[in-house]
Amino acid sequence: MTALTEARLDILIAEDEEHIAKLISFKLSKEGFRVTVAKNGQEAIDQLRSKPWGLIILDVMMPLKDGWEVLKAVQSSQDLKRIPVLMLTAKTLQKDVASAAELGATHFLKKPFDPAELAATARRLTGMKPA
Amino acid sequence: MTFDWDSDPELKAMRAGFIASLAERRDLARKALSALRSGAPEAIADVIFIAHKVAGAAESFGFPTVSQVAAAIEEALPSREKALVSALAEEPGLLTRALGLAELLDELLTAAAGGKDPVHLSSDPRYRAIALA
Repeated sequence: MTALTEARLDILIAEDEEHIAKLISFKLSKEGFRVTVAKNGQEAIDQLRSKPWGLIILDVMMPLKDGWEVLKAVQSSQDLKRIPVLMLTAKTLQKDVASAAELGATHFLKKPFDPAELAATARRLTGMKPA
Repeated sequence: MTFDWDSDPELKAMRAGFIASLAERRDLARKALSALRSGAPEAIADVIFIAHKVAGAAESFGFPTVSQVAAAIEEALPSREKALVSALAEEPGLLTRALGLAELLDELLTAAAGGKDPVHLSSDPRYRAIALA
């Protein structure tokens, strides 16, 4: 496996809801990804340059800094903005989708997420082959 | 499609952990309820936060009614962008209304902490009043 393919296996999840973070981490680990969980937006920002992430998954409402602030931090850097960002949105909040699009996010996953869709989306965005 | 909770001991433990967390969230909701009863409107933010988090998580763990009702409670209260001070000025009865919603949230979480989705609450008049608003 090349270094470039290795890099795509690392996923950063920013989600303060511990149980959802565990569920996402469980599913993606089973798919072969290496998952790091940040418990709030500040932790996520601190982790942005710790690895060459293949994908960043962001919840919106988090303590300290929210998903929008993390997204802005990603979009403000030339090297970070190449990383695909998947926003986790509540199904009733269409304005989340509009706000994310304004900030440059193009990928969304509505809660409750379908585990198969989560896995397929992660594979697609990281360039892994379909299962 | 959802997770097959019985297919993997790790998944089963995760669901059990989530159910245990519902009791903790109920306790937090009761603290907010108590604060509201004492006339502390800032506790409305706590109710919104608890409702939001539960709404986003519960259905993933097999509690669709909990998500549905919690989402309605969240939507029925001032959005986080809206300052509480201005919301109270615009709606003098907001504290009373929030108290009723906090009571519904307490009942929702108490029922779900027992491990079953409280389907009966989807036909509760208090839920129907906010869901249809």
